[in-house]
Parts: sequence; C-alpha cells; structure tokens
Amino acid sequence: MTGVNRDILITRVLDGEATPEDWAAFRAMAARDQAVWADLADAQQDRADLAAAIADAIAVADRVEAPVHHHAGERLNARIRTGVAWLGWAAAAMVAVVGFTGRFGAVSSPGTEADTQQAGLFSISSPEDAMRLYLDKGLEAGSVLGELPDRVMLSSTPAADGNGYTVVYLRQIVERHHVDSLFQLGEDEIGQPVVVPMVPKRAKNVTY
Amino acid sequence: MTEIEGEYSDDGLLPLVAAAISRDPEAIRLLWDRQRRWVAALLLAYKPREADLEDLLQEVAMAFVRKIGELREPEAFKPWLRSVSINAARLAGRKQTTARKHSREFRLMVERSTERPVASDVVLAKREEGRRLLDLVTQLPEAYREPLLLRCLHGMSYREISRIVGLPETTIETRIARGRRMLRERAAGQEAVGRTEPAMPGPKNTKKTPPTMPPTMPPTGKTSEEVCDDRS
Repeated sequence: MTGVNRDILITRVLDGEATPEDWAAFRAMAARDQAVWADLADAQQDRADLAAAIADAIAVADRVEAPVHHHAGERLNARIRTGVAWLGWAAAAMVAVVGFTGRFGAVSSPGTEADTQQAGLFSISSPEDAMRLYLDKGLEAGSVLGELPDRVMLSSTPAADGNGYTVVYLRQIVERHHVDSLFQLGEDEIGQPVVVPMVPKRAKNVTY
Repeated sequence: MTEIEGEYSDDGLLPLVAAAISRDPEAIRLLWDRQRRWVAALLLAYKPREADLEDLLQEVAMAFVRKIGELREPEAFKPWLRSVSINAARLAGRKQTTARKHSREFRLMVERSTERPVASDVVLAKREEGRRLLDLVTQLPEAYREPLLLRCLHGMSYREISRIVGLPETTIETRIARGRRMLRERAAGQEAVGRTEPAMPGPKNTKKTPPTMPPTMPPTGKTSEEVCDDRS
C-alpha cells in the first residue's frame, strides 16, 4: 500500500467516513504493520488537540452578531446626509451661536408643574435643569471641572415643522476622579502588549 | 460550546437564504448565527498572522448584511460567503489598526486574568499543544489549511466542505489526509529540534507515547468523531 493510501485510510477511520471495506483494508494493513496503530493514535491525538485549539480560537464568533439594525441605520444616515449636506454650514453656525449664548430653546422648554421634581433646594423641570444641577454639584464636590464651550456637531436636519433645524451634538464635560494607580499599554521585547505603570506628566500651564 | 448536531448541514438552509436575500432581518440574523463558526475557522486559514479574528468577523458580518441582497442564487450562498470572508482576510493586513488591536488585546488580557479558572498542568499542556498545532497548520500550504481546519469543526463532513470550497469530495479527502501527514511531520520535526536544543525556551514537551493497546474500532468507525465532540 502506498503512503498516500495509508494516510487516506487513516483519515477515513479518524473522521468516521470509513466504509466496511475501508475497515477491512485497515485491519489487514495493521496486521502487516503494527506501526499503523501508532500512526492512528498520533493522528487521533493531533486531531483532538487541534479541534480544542480551534474551538478556543473561534469562540469569539459567538460574540459577533449580524449588524442588521446598524446597516438599516447606516442607510438612513446616508439618505439624511445626502439630503441636508448643503445645510451643514448653516446648522454649524447655529450651533456655534447657541453655544455662545448658552440658550437651548429646544431642550430647556419649561415643564408643567406636575413634571417638576425637587432635588434638595433645586427645582428640576427640564433635562437642562438636571444637567445644571449635575454640573453645580460636581463643581462643588470637585468631581466636575467644567464644560468645554464648544459643541461637536454630529448631524443636522431640517426641523419637521419646516422652521429651523434639528442638530445632534456632543457636550464635553471635564471630570476629575481619584484612582489608586495608572497604567498604560506598552510592548515587551518581542512586541507583545503588556500593561505597564505610567508616570503622568502634568502640563505646566494648566491649573485645576 | 453551543454546537448542535448537523449545525453545518444544508437542511432547511435554502428557504432561510431566500428570506435573507429578500432582506428579512430575522432571517439574516439567523443565517449568520448558523454560519459564523465555520466562517471563523475559514478566516483562521487565510488571515494574516497579526490580524485580529474578531475584527475580521465583524467586517465579514458587515459585508454579509450589506451584500446578501445582491446574491442571485441561494444555492451559491456558501461559496459566496467563503469569497466574502477570504477577501476580508486578504485585505486585513493592509487595514490593521494598531490602536484597536491593542485595546482589544488589553481587554482580552483583563478577561483572561479574571475569568479563566486555574487549569491543571495536564490541561495547560494539552492547550499548549493544541495552540502549537494550530500555529503549524497556519504555516501549511493554503490548499491544505482550509479543509483541515473546517474538518475540525464538529459536524462538518467532507461533502459540506466540498460544497463550500467548490472542489470534489475526493480532493478534499486527499488534502485533509496529506495536510495531516504534513502537520505530523512538522510537529515531530519541531519536537526533535526542541530535544536537541535544551537551553532554548519553547513549548512544553508533550511528546506522545505509542499506545500499548489499539484504539477501539466499532464497525461504523465513529469513535474519532466523538473525540472531537468531547473537545467542542
């Protein structure tokens, strides 16, 4: 029997694909050459070890979902981008003006009396009030250093009623917290990522 | 592991593919869930060494959702998904983002340090041997890597592999047999080098000893299949 036939026979036996004729041929081969058993055992162990390693490696697949909603959102965003691209500069200017004056009519509309909640001595009747309370309390406690004046615009669309625009933007709040130690990601001598302690440098012209 | 019997079979696949082609979100989701493991194994065969498997899978999943509606023949689904996956793997080397890779590796490092229970020396040695073999498989010629890795997925038969790869079953069988032979020779070669260079650091010596008794041989020859089941 040639080497290739021997390997194929072992592979069929190993993979459960052997026919009764294959088994007969395998037994006959093993009767002539006992080393066939050792080859089969080695192949069986390799296969088991390899299967375990592959199962480990591909376990990440269970975390990867088909991004169906993301795709739908992407298509919608593309349509919106196409429709309002020419309005971009105007909306950006509006955000800048609003940012400067600090007035957000759309989000600070007064609530009814029933909507108003009390938080200590503060009256919370809108999201803007809640944000103001968070900023004030944070500043008082030292966990909030302030809010950056610039808003980062993410999108702009004409308002549904035809008057003005709806803008989506980021507000940037700077916080301060105490941690016991700092680490950063570095590389060891063979290029593997390692976590190493970090000594932070403080900018000379910044005071908190 | 959450594998099920016949997970990779084509039973009931075509209606699901047809529904996915017509952009039914639930069908798309279900179809991807049934394919992602073999896609991951395929990516292992083709991805550049430094590319992150999860990143690649995300890219394939994205392309799958975006392009499934363009597929004309449901019968061509698996070869089509294979092409999408191989293209993603081949592009990966050029698009690797170091920052993303590092942040993911950092996260995995934390996960490993917090989640994994303490394993015995035997389990660790087996795991190390498996990783060494997987590393060797990725160095085999391309034609042998893919069928060898796909065959190690529970339930994937020669027939199913041949449908994905688009080659006759006999060719798949020959490649698996030759691939295993090459793998054993390379593993033995590595072990021999390890023995002659004791001062060099390397993987644990997990050299196998020949069995004193032959393995059990049932008439149907299914014993080895169950070996894979136990590990998966």
